[in-house]
Amino acid sequence: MVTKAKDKPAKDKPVRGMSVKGNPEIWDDTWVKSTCGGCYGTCTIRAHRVNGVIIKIEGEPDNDFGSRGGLCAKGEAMIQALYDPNRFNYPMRRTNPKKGLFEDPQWKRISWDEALDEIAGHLKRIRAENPNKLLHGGTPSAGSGPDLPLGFGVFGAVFGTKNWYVGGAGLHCGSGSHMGAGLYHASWSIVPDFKYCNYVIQMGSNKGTGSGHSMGFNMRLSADARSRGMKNVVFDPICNFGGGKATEWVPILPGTDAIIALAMTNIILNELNVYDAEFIKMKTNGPYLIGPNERYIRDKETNKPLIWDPVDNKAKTFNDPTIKDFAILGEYTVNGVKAVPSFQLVKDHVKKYSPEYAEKESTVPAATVRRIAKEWADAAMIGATIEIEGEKLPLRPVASVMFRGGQGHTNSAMSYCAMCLLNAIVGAMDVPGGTLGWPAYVEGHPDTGRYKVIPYPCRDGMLTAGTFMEHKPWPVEESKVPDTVLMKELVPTASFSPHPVTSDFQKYWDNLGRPYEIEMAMIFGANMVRSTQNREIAEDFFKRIPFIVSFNILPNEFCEGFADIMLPDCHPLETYCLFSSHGPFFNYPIGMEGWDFPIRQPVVKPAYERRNKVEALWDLADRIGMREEMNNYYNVYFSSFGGEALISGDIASVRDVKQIDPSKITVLIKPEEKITYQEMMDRAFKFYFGEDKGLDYISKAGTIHWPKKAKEAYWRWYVDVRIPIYMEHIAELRDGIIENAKKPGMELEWEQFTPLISYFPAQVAREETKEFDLYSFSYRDILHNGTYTMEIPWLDEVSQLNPYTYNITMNAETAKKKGLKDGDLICLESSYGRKTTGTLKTMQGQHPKTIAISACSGGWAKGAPIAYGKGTNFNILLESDAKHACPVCWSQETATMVKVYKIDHRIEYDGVGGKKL
Amino acid sequence: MRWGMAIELKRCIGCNACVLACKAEHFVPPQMFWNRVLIGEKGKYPQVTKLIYSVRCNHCAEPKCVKVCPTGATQQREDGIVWVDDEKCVGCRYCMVACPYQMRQMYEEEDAQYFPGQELTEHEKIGKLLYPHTPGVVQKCVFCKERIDSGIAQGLTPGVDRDATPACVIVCPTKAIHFGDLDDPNSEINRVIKEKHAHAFHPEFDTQPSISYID
Repeated sequence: MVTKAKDKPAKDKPVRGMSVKGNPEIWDDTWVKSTCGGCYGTCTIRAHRVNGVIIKIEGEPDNDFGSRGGLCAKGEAMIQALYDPNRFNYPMRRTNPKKGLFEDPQWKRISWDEALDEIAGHLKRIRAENPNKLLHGGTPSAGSGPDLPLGFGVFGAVFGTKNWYVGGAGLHCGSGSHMGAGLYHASWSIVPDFKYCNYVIQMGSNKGTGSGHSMGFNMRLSADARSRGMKNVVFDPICNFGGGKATEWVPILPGTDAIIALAMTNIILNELNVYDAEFIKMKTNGPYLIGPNERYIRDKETNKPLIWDPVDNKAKTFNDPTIKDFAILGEYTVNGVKAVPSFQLVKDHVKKYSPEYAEKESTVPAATVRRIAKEWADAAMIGATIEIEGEKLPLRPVASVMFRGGQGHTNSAMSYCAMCLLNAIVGAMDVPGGTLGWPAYVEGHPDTGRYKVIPYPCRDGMLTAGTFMEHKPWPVEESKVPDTVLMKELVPTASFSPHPVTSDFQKYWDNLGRPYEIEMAMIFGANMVRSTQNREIAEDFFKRIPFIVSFNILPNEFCEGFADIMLPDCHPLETYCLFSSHGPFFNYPIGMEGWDFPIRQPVVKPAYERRNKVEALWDLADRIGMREEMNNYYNVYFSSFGGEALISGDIASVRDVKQIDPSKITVLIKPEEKITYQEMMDRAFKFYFGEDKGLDYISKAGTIHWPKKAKEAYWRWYVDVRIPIYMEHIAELRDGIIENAKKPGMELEWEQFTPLISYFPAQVAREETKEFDLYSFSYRDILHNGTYTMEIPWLDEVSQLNPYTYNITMNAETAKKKGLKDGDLICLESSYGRKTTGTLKTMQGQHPKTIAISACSGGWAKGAPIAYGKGTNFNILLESDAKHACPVCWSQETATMVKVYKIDHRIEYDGVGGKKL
Repeated sequence: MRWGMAIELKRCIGCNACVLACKAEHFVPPQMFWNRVLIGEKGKYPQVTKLIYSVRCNHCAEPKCVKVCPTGATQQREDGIVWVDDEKCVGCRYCMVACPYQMRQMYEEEDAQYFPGQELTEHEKIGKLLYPHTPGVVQKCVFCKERIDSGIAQGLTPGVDRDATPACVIVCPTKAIHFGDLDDPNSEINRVIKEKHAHAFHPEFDTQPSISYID
């Protein structure tokens, strides 16, 4: 019964900062500071709780870790995710013995003790037999807290399994970009320095217009930059999110970004003859001398790479203090062989990438490539400096950035590195105005010197991140015959692996003699069959696993089809999380924006029997006798940020990387202690920031904030490190990989293991035929993140109002030629016979040879009724195998050739058994 | 005093934060929208521009809706805010026809739920206590008059202090929306309008909107 409103202003009782009608009884009116769980971004928020219910979420205005008061729609919609009546409230057991994509699990409620006892029984047996029989993973994604290293990561590492399958591995994540950002920026990803940048080139990226990384501050800073007139050139097949905010949208065929970057590099180096010689000499391996075998020429005594000093006219080791200058051009004779500085090789190598060649591959007119290259090089202002807080720094106000779209192809690693090369030749890396990593250099809190992360020169002087949480592609491990189902050890440059959820995994595993079988999986927060890759390939793998445990807040396609036991996770609004505070890894504000260490804390108590998943993992650890080891691991983890002990044990096999010093580990948790999650947070805060900055303090303050120094924001010239514009390590790896691939029988595109950054046509382009003539791809819609946001009614409503979100888009002229029009139900069929359907919406702003779908839509889980049938599941169209993966970083090919035709019903829902569409 | 908005199109990315902030602020029922984001494009391939407009009641200085209302339910306050008195509205919808911007909606489905067929959520239940809606009347944006009124009563300044400023303005992650007093020549919003050449959406409707856009 609705109360009759009395909307007479005089009688309404004014309540500060909220709209109220009439005079309701309010007994709880509280704002709680926390961080958002709507995507990876973890922006700081304040949530308004009235009478025990969250009624509003706003951005936190008082710090830099977000949009300074603003928040995106996903963040606001978290209220409805929290109160979704479809959520898991109790542990559940599958009673339907059958597993499969459309099976009804027939959940039956069980107690936590029953669930944990059963899980522990399996874990105990597996750990005794072979811990690798446990596959664990998930994704630190929305809806579920991102407690990756402090929860599942620790659990799996201590348990002893190396089979860590990340939900983002296949599709939405950027294997090439994480590899490349680690290599060139000691970071997880990159962002233009929006404050000072005047000219950005974006390739398949959504910085500030949709990407989850750094969501809040990217939206704010990129808007400031557009407003002040920053030029924003976006190479993208679609003029929607990234392209929609471009000053110039340049339509491009998917998978051809690398050749654009290389053609621009060619024009800049060989036609304009412009480059930042100082940067190349001091900050890259450009001066390192390369021999005829593609490898560094090394000093016979020290084994260090040699450079040529043109003043003394002789070769010296790269860090010889007597060096007077570095030759980066020319040809020399050293140790009796021809020796060429790698920069000269790179400069010569890119000559083959003419703008005309780039046009042929990408359809971008050669004149456009030439013009943009010139504009960008001019805008780089090589030689310019700026003074910030008394520090004189290089000013390079140009940036070139890429993310998932640009590098989601079989040329992923090369594409990303080509884009990085463009920044490197003008010295626009981690200096004002250029491309920045999430700050990789933190000197620590002024009171304690802790929470400290400093990159350092590793083998051959190459940049290496100061925290084990970053990708560490340098120096890479040696290739090995695979002994995990991920098979990543074969190709150490791989970031994430699509294996074992591929159509060719079983063949390789057979060839390896099937060392063991995956007998159990523990998955948190992910939707492995809808968001990660083709669902049938996923089904084939997951239905073989005898026992699967899933932690999630809400039923999804994966848990309904495959989980044996479901454990009810807390929503980010009802739990603590410590990992999301550790920003340098993921989301730290860039440039001179301050350091923040924000808290995630419950705004409301968890209802029903939902539990913090880390505490549930500790209960499991208790049951299998593993808690002490986990406590020890936490001590290593926190100590590694303490500045006294560096770099954890889980990558201890990596050559030349700094190791943890056991004598310097601070014992925050005694091995035998059984503390709560809050207690762990309290101790971590006090360790990092001082005894007065414990959980009580930070719960009220919301964040620990301290100013950033110029040398932290723009650290590049303050650390004696170099980056590989010539990827000698890939040449080094090649023979070993070829040899070790023989046993599993894996064929990769060996040509891509070249030290010279090159263009290789993506697999999608090789599959173009007259019949299968359209490049299909998916893109990130700003309204959604992964699959679960589609279950949120508010986001569903605005998605329905959007002309594109739930529809399949294609160029209007192309549609006309094919006899198609808006509103037609169409089928996309790949050359492999895979089909998906949806409603057509034509656009002018789309490349005529493409067809596009908003990622991760097209739900079929019966327990998520709002998402059911909305949009189209693009991933159905994809192949997942070695042929469709980048050989260097193992990104999946995320575009596929299709033919398109009208159809009478949603065939991919045949057999689902839900409501008719 | 006349409240107004200026929206910077270069900043807006179409994230719909303004729409959901409004939904949360007023517990707006399912399928009802007091503001929206219009998405479109102009030009022909490959010279294309995406269009994104955050729209809501323009609180026009010459509101056609007020003139046509037969019961006096649709009214304009002295500060320019146009609102509907639920008790006077008889649901005749003349105002919906009269509004050239189509920024009004009839609220009829009293039983509509965000999770149809399931129990009302705690959030929906408290909405019925804090901001109940009357079925059978026309709804629209009220420029968050409750926030403005309570803010002013506490000495705050709309457009400056968050608690006195409309919900869609303070939530904008790109700071695309400016809010303030159009009658104050020294207000920030008037400076922005003048410096950035703000213009009305569809000026040919000739209603003198209080909302303007900056290209």
